[in-house]
Amino acid sequence: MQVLGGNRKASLSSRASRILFGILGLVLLAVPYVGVSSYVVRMFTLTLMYISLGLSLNLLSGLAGQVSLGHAAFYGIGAYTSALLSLRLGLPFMLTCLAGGIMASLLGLLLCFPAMKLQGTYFTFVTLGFGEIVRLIILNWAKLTRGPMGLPGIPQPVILGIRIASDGAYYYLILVIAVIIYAVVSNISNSATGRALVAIREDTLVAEAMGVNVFKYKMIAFGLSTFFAGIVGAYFAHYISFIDPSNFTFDESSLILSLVVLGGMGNLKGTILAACFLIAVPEVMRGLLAYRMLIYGLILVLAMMIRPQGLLGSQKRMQVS
Amino acid sequence: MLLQQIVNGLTIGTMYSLCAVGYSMVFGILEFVNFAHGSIYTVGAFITLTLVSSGRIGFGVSFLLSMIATGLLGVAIDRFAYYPIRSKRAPKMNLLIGSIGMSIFLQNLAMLIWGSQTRNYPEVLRLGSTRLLGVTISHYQVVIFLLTAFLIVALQTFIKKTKTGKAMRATAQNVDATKLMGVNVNLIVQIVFFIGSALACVAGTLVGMYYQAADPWMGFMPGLKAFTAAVLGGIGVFEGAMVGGLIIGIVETLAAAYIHAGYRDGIAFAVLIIVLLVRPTGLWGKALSRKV
Amino acid sequence: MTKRLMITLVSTLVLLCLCGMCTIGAGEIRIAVCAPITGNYSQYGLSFKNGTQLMAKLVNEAGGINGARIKMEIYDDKNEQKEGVNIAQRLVSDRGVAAVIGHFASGVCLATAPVFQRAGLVLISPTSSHPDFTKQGTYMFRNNVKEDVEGPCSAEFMIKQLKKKNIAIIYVNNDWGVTARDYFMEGVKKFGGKIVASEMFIDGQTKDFSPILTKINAAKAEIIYLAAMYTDSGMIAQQLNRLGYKIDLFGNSSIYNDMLIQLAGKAVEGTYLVASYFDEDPTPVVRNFIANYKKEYGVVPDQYAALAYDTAGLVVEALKICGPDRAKLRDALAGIKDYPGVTGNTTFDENRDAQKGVIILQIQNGKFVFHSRV
Repeated sequence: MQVLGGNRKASLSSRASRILFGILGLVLLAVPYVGVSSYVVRMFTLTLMYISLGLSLNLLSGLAGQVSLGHAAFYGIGAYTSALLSLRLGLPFMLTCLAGGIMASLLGLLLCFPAMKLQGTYFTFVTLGFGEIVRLIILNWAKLTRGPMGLPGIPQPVILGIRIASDGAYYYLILVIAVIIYAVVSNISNSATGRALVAIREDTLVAEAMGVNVFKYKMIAFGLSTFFAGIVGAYFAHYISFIDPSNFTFDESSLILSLVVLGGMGNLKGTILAACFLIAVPEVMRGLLAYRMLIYGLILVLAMMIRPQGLLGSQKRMQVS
Repeated sequence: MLLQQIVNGLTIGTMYSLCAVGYSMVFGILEFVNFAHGSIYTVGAFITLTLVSSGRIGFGVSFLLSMIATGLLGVAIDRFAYYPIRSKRAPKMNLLIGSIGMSIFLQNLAMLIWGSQTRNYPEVLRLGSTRLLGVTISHYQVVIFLLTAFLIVALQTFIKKTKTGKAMRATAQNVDATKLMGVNVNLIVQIVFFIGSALACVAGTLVGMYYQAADPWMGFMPGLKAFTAAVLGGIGVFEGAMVGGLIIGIVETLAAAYIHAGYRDGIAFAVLIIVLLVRPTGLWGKALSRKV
Repeated sequence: MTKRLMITLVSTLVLLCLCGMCTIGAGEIRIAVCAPITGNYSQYGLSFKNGTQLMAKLVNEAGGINGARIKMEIYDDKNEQKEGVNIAQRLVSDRGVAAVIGHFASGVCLATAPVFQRAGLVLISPTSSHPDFTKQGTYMFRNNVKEDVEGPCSAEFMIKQLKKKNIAIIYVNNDWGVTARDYFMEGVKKFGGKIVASEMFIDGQTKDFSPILTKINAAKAEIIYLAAMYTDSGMIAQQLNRLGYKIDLFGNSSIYNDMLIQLAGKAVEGTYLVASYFDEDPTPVVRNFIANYKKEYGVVPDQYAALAYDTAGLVVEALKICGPDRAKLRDALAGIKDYPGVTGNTTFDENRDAQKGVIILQIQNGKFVFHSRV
C-alpha cells in the first residue's frame, strides 16, 4: 500500500491496476451512451453510491481505524436534511446537499468524544447504538420528518441551471461525487494527515508520544468521513425521491463496513472492487429467491476467510498488524 | 403502575441477562462481538420447538437435547467459520464482518427450514399468576428468573472451581501465555462456544415459551440488547452481565411507559453510551491496562 | 497474481450481472410479482407468491388468455425500497412484462411508483394502504380496502353496537399503522367516543407489550383497537391476558389469520374484527378458491393470499380485454366494474382505489365466525 511505501512487486501491480482503472474510467464515462437499459444504469448508479459511502467510511475506519457500524445514520441525516430543506423551504440542491453534509458532519464530530475514550469493539458498539438512536429519532419525530410516512416528492436537483432528470444525468452526478470523494480520500491517505491517521490506527499511544495531536486528527477523520456520507445521503434522497427511516438501518451500516473490510482496511481501490462485488452478487442471484440471502451470508463469511487482508490487500502487511 | 412496570422490566431483563452471559464469555476470550449469537438463539428456540412438537420425547429431554445440539452448532460455527479467519491472524474486523455474514446465513437457513411464518410455541408449563400489592406476577416470570440465577451461579462455580474454568480465565487474560503453559487454547475456545450457544438456546427457548411465538428474525434485537447488557455490566464479569441485563430491561420498560414507546430500543443504547463514557469498561469491568 | 485473479473474478461477475437474465418465452404473457421473499416480512410475501401463482395455474389450465399462457415471475424486494427500485428499473426495461403486481409495504410502492409511472407500466398493490400511493400516477392501482373505510366502520361498531366509550389504540409505527390510527380516530370522534390512550410499537423489534398494556389499563380503557399484524396482535392479546387485565380487543382486518388464534388461544376469544374476505363464506367463488388453494399448498389461504389472488384475477380480466399492451392494459383495468373476486365485488374508483364492502367477524370457540355485514 502506498502509505507504507510498497516494494517493487507492489508498485508493478499498482501500475497494472492504474491502467485497469484508467480503462474503467473511460467505460464509466460511456455507460449511459452505449445503449444499455435504464436498469443497468441504475445498477451503476447504485454501485457508485456505495463506492462513495465505502470510500467515506474507509477514511474513518480503514485509515484512522475507528470502526463504525453507524455510518447509515450520517447518510440518513444527510438525506433527511437535504430533503426537508428542499421540500419545506424550496432551497436549491447545491445548498441543501451541502447542508446535508454539514449536518451529518456536525453530528459526526460528536462521536469524537467517545472515540477518544473508548477502544476497539467498545467504540464500534457505541456507533451501532448511535445509529439506532438516530434512526429512532427520525422515525419518532413525526412533526419534522413525518416519521414512518416518509417524505415523498423530493424534487429533482437543479445544478447550475441544469435539471437532473434522466437516469444518465443522475448517473453522472454520482460519478462526479464519487470521483471527488476518491480524490480527497486518496490525497489524504498519501499526505502527512494520512500518515498521522495510520499511526493513530496502529498504535494511539505511540502516535501520541511522537507528537501527533490525536484529537485533532480524529476530528478531521470524523468530520470529513461523515460529511461525505451526508452528501451521498442528500444525493440518494433526490435520486429516489421518496425516503423513509427504513432506508437507514443497521443492515445498511453493516453493508458499508463490509465494503471497507472486504476491500482491505485503508485500501481505496479495494473498496471500489468490494462495492462492485457486494452490489452485484445479490442482483445476479435474484433468480434464487429465498436462497439468495442465505448464499449472500455464506459468501461474506467465505470472503473473510479466503481474503482476510481484503480483495486487494497485500499478504505482507497482514503480519505486521 | 410503577411497581408493575418494574416487574415487567425484570422479566425481559432476565432474558437479556441469560443471552448476555454467552456474549460475555466469547467476547472475554476472543474480543469480538459475535453477531451470530442472536441467530444461534433463534435456531436454539426452533430446535426445541421441533423436538417438543414431534411429540416423541418429553419437554425436559427435548430441552436438554436442544441445548446440546445448539452448543454443537456454536462449536461448528467456530470451527468452520471463525477459526479459519482467526488462524490467519486477520484483523478483528474480519471476524466481525464474518459473524454478520454468519448471522445472515443462519437467519435465512432458519427461514428455509422452519418457514417464514411465525410459529406457535407450545405452552409446556401451565403456570398461573399471583397478585401481590396490585402487581400481577406470572409464575413463569419467577421460573425464568430462578433458572437464570441458577445457571449463572453454576457457570460461575464452573469457572472458578474447575481446571477447565481456570484455563478459560487464563485464556481470557492472555492467549499466547496460556498457549505456552500447554493449554489447548482452541479447545478452550470451543468449550466457550459450546457453553455460550447452549445458554443462547436456553434463552431462546424461554423467550419462545414466554411469548408463545418464534420466528426466524426473533433473535436480532435481543442479541443487540444482550450485548449491550454484557458491555454495560463489564465484559467477562457474569454478575455484571446479569445486572446489566436487568438494568436494560427495567430502563427500557420504564422508558416505554413514561417517556415514549417509540424510543424504547434507543434508550437502552443511550444508557450504554453514557455508562461507557463514564466507565469505559462497564459498571463492573476491571480497568483496562493500556499496553505500552 | 491473486490480486489480478480477484479483479478478473469480480469484473466477470459484474458483467454477468449486466447481461441480466433475459429469457422471453414465446406465446407467454409475463406478469411480475414483487414481494418480500426473504427478510422479516417474508411470511406475507409467501401469500403473494401463492395467491398469484394459483391464479396463473387456473387460467392456464383453462386454456390461458386467448391461447397465451400467463406466467407469474416472482421478484424478492425484501420489503426494501432500494431493492424495490432495482427490480422496478429492471422490469420497465424488460418489454415482455405486461404488468406488475406488488409490493407489500406502501413505502416500497411509493419509492417505485415514479419509475413505473414514467415507463407507463401498471403497478397494482394488493396491500398498500398509504393514501398517497395511488396519487403518484395514473398507472398506480390498489386492490384492498382502504383504512378510510375500515377505520370509521370499526369505530361505529365499537361505539354504537358494543357501547364502548373509552377506547385505546395500539398501532404499529409504520405508514400503514399511522394511517389506520388516523382514520380510526376520526371515526371515534365522529361517533362520540373517547380515545384514552394511543400507544405504538416498532414492528419487528417489539415483542414485549407489557409496558404499554399496563399504561392502557391505568388509563381505564374498555376496549383496544389493534392496528397491528396478526402476529403482534396475538402477542398483545396473550400478554394482556397474562397481566390479568379485562379489556376487550377489536381488530383491524390485518389480524384476520388463523395464526392469531393459534398464537393467542383463549386470550382472543370474543374479539371482533373487520374483514373484507372470510374463508367460510359459502359463495361458490370463495369455496372454489379455498379448495384449490388447499389442494395446491396444503393450508387455508389468509387474506393476503386472497387479495393477491384477486389482484392477479383483475389483471387477467384486463388482459382478456386488451392483450399485453401496457397502456391499453391500464385503461382496461381502470374500467373494470364489479369483478367477482373472493374479497368481494371490486370496482376501481376514479383514483384507482378498489371499492369493496367490509364485514364484521367475531372469534367464538377458537374460530372466526361471521357476525354482520356493514
